[in-house]
Amino acid sequence: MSLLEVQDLTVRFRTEEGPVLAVDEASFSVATREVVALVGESGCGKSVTALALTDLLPRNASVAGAIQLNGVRPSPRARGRDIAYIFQEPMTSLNPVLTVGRQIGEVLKRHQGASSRARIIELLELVGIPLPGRRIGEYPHQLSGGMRQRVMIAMAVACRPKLLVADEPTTALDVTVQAGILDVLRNLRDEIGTALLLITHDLGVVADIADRVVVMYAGRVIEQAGVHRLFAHPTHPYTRGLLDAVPTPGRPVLKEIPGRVPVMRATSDACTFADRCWRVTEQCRSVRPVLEPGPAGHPARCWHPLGGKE
Amino acid sequence: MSVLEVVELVKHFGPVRAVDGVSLHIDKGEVLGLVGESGSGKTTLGRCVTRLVPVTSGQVWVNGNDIAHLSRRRLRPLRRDFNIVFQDPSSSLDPRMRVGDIIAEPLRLHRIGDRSTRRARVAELLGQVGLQAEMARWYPHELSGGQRQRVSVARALSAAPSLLVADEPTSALDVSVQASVLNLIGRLQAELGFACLFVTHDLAAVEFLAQRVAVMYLGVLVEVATRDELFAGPRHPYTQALLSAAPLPDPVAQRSRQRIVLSGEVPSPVDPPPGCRFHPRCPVAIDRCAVEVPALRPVGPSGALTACHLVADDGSAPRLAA
Ligand SMILES: Nc1ncnc2c1ncn2[C@@H]1O[C@H](COP(=O)(O)OP(=O)(O)OP(=O)(O)O)[C@@H](O)[C@H]1O
Ligand SMILES: Nc1ncnc2c1ncn2[C@@H]1O[C@H](COP(=O)(O)OP(=O)(O)OP(=O)(O)O)[C@@H](O)[C@H]1O
Ligand code: SF4
Ligand code: SF4
Ligand SMILES: [Mg+2]
Ligand SMILES: [Mg+2]
Repeated sequence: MSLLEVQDLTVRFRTEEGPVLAVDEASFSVATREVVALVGESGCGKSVTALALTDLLPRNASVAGAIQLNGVRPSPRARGRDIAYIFQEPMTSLNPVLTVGRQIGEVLKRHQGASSRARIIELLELVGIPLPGRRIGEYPHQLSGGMRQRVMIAMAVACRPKLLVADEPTTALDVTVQAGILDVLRNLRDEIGTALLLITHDLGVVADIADRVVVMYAGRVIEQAGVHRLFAHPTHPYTRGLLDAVPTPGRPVLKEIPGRVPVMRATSDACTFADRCWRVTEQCRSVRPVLEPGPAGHPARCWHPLGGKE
Repeated sequence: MSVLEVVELVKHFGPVRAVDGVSLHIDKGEVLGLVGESGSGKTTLGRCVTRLVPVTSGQVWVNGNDIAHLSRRRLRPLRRDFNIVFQDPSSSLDPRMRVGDIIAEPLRLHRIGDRSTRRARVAELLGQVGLQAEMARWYPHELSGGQRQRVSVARALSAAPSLLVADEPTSALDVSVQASVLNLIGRLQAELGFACLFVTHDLAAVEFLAQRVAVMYLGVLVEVATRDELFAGPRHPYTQALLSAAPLPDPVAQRSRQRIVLSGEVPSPVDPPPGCRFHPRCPVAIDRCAVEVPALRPVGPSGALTACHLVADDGSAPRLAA
């Protein structure tokens, strides 16, 4: 049984320009101790999916579909306890006038009713902050971007969530700092058994840390597979396009994906990638493809998946 | 001949020693990639070279003119020789101007051509950056991020400069759009032959676009080498750590690598460490590193430059273990 099971998650926004269908019947799962990467271009619905899981969507959103934790629909309280969320920009989500120790302490108190200096130091050590006894009394502005992100992670895991949802946790950081943060996340999985849903658009990060990958396009899950399989045998043309667009030494010209991600107003009876796809046929424009096992054995949402008989 | 020759460039913002003695050159038709930790002074260097900020000391030779300390008035006619593309196309394009006027701005500024030749030049540039001629009448908000960045590139190139500084031109863009902007800069650079200072923290993009790479750390250069030499065998310990930390988009290759994780924080450029500026984080530092500044000097047969006491004159370097 999966730790997290998401079934047909659909998120709509009411906006002044009309409705936006940000997530369109997305289904995926995360197993205990698993690291799942959620990838896709800007606007594909990754953050909205994460916010829906953690119940943090703004009020103009309406959500449908089912979310299960360990096989049951979680109460709001269980959801808040078992699923933690970390944002991309740590500075905006830390309180600038409270010390690091105080902020972690408040989280502990809120969820567990008590906090102690020893427990806070233990958490700072868990996320690899050197000299935790000193850092505990410092303010966010005294810390580097990487250290702030570690503090955010410490706060997120203070109550031993079963799942950590991390939205682009390293995008604003240098690669040398990013490497350390990825080690921290790996460590959490190994030491306290936290599963991770990692949102990123960096395929290098995916290759480094993910067990499995879920690819989203225009609100739909279009392919999912184990990380090795996905990189070796992408079967959806969009996934292939993403992999080919990465600069590769020795390639004189990079492959581009023409066009851009559409903003979906309502669900459509077509493949949402049809306007950008080089394999498009009439069928793609009139019948919505279903997510089903393709030639490489893993699910892809495409009428003409790659890797089959050409 | 070098299009750009920077000599002992220093730029301090009050106590902040953002650029602290940098020398480099870029030849005609060459792309020099500039990489380094956040806050190491890359943007500041690019802004000094294009004289968007006053220079504290040193020389900036562009096509044989030292522009480092020229007055505004004397600088003005020389400005058509160089231009810059910024990271965020949304904030660098005037939202009230039409695309055609944005692109023609350097032409108007330098009084190049008349209205009709400028219009023709705008149409030509739009074609070169892969946009439709009719987009000249559009406003920036009607374009996608990638299209806006194409407009920035067209504007920067409209007066046919011999030097283009591109400061993280793809960092705000999705991979698929990144690919198209990298292709665009690469293609135009090959066609038009301008020299390019390409600032980025994306090592894969540098490897794709640059012929030579300079690595910056806390206001100074620590290594300069051809792309192939640098990626095949980085010599400076910081460069080694940097390359080893950038994850490869290939799970098999990535998971079999040894990564060097640096400890400690990037020190403040207000009070950089004495000796080698990297010494507090360097895994192989020796006593000498804390007191003696290593000079950026040629090493090995190719004349690549490295600033490290432990890199020998023959180019052999300490290999950092993970
Ligand atoms: N509060 C909101 N109101 C209206 N539309 C929204 C809102 N939040 C997100 N959207 C829309 O939902 C879609 C998905 O957005 P989302 O933020 O999930 O993208 P993303 O995949 O996280 O992209 P990025 O990589 O840029 O972070 C987009 O079209 C976006 O404009
Ligand atoms: N206008 C300014 N006033 C004061 N300090 C500044 C100014 N501009 C830059 N700095 C400082 O100069 C140093 C170098 O900054 P710079 O922006 O050049 O770094 P960078 O290498 O481009 O970093 P990044 O990779 O984050 O873009 C930093 O410490 C920065 O805070
Ligand atoms: S369904 Fe058709 S248009 Fe969509 S990705 Fe597959 S081949 Fe392309
Ligand atoms: S000079 Fe010393 S501290 Fe600096 S990089 Fe070389 S070995 Fe490390
Ligand atoms: Mg997002
Ligand atoms: Mg910069």
